[in-house]
Amino acid sequence: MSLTDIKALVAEALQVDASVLSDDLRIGGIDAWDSLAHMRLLTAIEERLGKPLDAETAAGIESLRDIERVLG
Amino acid sequence: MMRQPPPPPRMKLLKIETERFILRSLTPADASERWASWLSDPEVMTPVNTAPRTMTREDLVRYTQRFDQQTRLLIGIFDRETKLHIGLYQVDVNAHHRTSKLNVIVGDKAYWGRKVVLETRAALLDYLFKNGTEKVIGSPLARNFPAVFNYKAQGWRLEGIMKGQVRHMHSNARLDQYEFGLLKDEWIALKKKAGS
Repeated sequence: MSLTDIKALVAEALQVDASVLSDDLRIGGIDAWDSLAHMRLLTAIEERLGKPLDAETAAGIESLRDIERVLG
Repeated sequence: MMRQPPPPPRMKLLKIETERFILRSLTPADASERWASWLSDPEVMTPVNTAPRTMTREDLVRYTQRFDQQTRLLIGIFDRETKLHIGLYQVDVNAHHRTSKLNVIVGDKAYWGRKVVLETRAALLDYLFKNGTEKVIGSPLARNFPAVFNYKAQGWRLEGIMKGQVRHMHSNARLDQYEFGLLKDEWIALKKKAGS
């Protein structure tokens, strides 16, 4: 997935417009990235992967770049 | 002969006010149907791997009495404006190692996603670190994504992944758990960084 696609995924989970997401956004970096948004985001990533995230991978998701790495 | 370090100061019933919330020690008088309703709600209890159960007010009274409020703290979270009881912390203090292990539940779902834990736990960390604790520990289930978010967003360090640490409440499946930690000096540094 491209960074643009990642931003679209994150924007949907955070319920914001993708234009507000900077390339270096990290967990909790904007108000909309709260605990419930994080749950929606990780659930969306699992849906894309078609399987649950293992504990190591889930723990490593803290930024857009991390999501890009996980989703490839 | 080596001199022993002085014992950490004893804590008493606490009351802490934050911008939007009040934290205070729970007593038998706080037992309520409202509190009991969270404990029977699968949506509240499943993330902490606890089977929902019906508890009476008397059950909750007995539950509060299990906490000495010195080494085992039971602390309610209250909305400062409405005075509604919305959640609670359990804190286990190890006076010898000067560690405190924290657990939190926000039972009132209307408050989920409103940064209740980030705001209240910051105040609780200040209190614990001022009263003898030198390290705090949190152990959320790996699948409890909102709790994991709160630890990460608050700057706690992921210290380990405990594979298959606990049994699932309804099956023989084993669940992974994270261990987060934060030292007093790290908390001070985080606050300093946030303030600068």
